[in-house]
Amino acid sequence: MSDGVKHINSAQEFANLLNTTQYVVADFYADWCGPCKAIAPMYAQFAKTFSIPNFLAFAKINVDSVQQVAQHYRVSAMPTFLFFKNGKQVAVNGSVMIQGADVNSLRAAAEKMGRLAKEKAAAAGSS
Amino acid sequence: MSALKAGDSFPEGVTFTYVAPSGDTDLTVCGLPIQYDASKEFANKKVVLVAVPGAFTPTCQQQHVPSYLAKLEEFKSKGVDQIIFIASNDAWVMAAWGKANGVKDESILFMSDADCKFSKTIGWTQGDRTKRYAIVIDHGKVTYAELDEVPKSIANTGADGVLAKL
Repeated sequence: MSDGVKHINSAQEFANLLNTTQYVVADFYADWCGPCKAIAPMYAQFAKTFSIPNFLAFAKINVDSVQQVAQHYRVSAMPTFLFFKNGKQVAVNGSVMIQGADVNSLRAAAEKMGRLAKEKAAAAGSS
Repeated sequence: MSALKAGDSFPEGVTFTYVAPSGDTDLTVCGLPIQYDASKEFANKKVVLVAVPGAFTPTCQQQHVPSYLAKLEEFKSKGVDQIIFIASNDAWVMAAWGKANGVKDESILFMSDADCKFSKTIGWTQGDRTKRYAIVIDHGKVTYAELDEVPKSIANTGADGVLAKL
């Protein structure tokens, strides 16, 4: 059983998510951005397939509504996908960010994060 | 408002907005304008700042930008870290203008002096557009600041004119 996408409405919400979830994927998007709309269904699908409460979450951050967070991470193009481990930004599959509606890279990153989160969750469950 | 001239310090608090170049991913990416803190960036760089009345307008498009594109290496050899084109057009128009000129990287940045905010402080505007001018800032100090007021002329602000003074 997994959650869907986590919609972030404030900097505090994002901070909370980073504090409580080991791995986080963040989708920075805008309502008026065509490519963002195009990739949204796939992102939602990855969220459904790979999310694990406390171990992997897929967040969506509207750059117009939560400007502070978008500016903090210097988001300059949408969609931009960032990756976090234990609250710190990390690279996945060699990329520190995916810029643009690149489904293949996003799928590979989601699968990788999913695998890592599953291992961590399993390890935590057996201790 | 006071015009800038060689020897002046570049003013504090000057910012522009621009959409960072994102390489070839034009079709699958939407640009988001970010603020460029010019005063802060110019403090430790050698920059050529060129203002044009309008993106895509005839002289600017046919002569001004091409003159710089042709001389990028020469500017680099004279120690110029960044060439920035500004106009009163918004950041998206400026970004599109850059792409239309085939600029995919940061060799020339295209930024918006929205509402001619900066150009007004130095009195170099015409109506709601900027005048055609070029300013060279070397680590915070203005070393060149000239206008081209003759229509269609880029004698002072085109690549050759500016290179001659570097």
